Amino acid sequence: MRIPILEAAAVNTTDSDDIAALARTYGPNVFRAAWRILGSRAAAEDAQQQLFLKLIESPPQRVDSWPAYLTAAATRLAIDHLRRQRHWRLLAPLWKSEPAEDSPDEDAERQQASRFMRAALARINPRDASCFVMRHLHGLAPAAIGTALGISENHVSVSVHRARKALEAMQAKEQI
Amino acid sequence: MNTLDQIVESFAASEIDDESVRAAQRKLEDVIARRMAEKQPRVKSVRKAGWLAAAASAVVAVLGLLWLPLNPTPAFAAVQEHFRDFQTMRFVIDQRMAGQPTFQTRVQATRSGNLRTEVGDDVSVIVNSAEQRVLTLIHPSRMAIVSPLAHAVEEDDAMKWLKDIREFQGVATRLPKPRVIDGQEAFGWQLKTAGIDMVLWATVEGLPLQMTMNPAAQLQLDFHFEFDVPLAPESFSTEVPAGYQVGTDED
Repeated sequence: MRIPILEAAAVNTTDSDDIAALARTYGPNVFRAAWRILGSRAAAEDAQQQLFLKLIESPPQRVDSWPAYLTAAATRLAIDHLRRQRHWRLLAPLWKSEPAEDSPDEDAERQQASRFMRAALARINPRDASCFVMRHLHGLAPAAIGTALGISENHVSVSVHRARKALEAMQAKEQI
Repeated sequence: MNTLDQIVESFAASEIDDESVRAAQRKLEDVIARRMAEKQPRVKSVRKAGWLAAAASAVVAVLGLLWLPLNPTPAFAAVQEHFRDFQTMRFVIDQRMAGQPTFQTRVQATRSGNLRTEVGDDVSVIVNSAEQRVLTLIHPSRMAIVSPLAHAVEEDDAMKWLKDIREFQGVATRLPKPRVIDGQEAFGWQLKTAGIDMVLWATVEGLPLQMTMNPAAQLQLDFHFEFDVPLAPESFSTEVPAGYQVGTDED
């Protein structure tokens, strides 16, 4: 199931009260978006809180679509987190244990798919990974992704394509 | 073998339960309420609460003045400032797995973005931002790998935690009891960034001395910091040392 994308009007200025209202409205979607990528409640909660606290400190000047903006921000934070986890594994080669995921009863195939996707998303270019996740996991249109990330729709399509090629190459190499 | 679309479909099919979403939302709204309370201008609350609140504030202020010189404590912002504004930083990371020491990582960093990391005795990674090159030395096989510095140093390297602390805007809780580290009184701060719990110990001026981090179950990293110590420029050279064979980077 994809995360529902709600309609929202453009907002020019934002104060703390607005952010609190946004958190009430879109907080659950932000949490789900982060959890889907991270597979960990604790990490998704951190990403959700980090995102809204950052908005309180540095509110953006103009946002055309808050759902798309927040989905993009949650996705980027979650991918950054995956990259950091990957880094710690590189830095600490003796650390073999996988981070705890929230669904130990998932079937083996889904677990394998999740592990592969998290590891692969951490390895590819972060912007490509964000575009791919927003397009294929969250179901956002390229135009909405472009607006949220401040890049052209064409750039989004190129990024998604590049991510797909990189993921397919990794998939072939690992024979998932 | 599955297609990528099947893998993505399977990955996307996982759902988090509603109770977890509600619990996260409650925590989020608590955190936001606390942050907004901190941001309220003080004069406003005095006006609202009237003379009683003003008198109470005066008493607290006097008590605070009496108490502060005896127990000076640094604000966490001062600790962050040291991480933002240094010329050089050197630190050692002692790694423990299930309480058992495994190996040590030694890092030297400069303000200009040069970085040298020694992982145990086997691997050295040197990032030279001016030369835009990374040199990896694998000592047991006398192998050297030279690669271009493709991304900004802060984006995906050993210093990511530093960016997290510099930009940390959540709540850092001061631990009740100071301790002595290398003969200096140190105050502890507990915080969580990017899902990682950490405790940071700093002097009364906010100079960081030690940090403990738990990036995963059973894994503990203990950092020991030194700031603005002289570092040899040749430590950051990406020239391949004599006796090393140049290899390729498969990663």
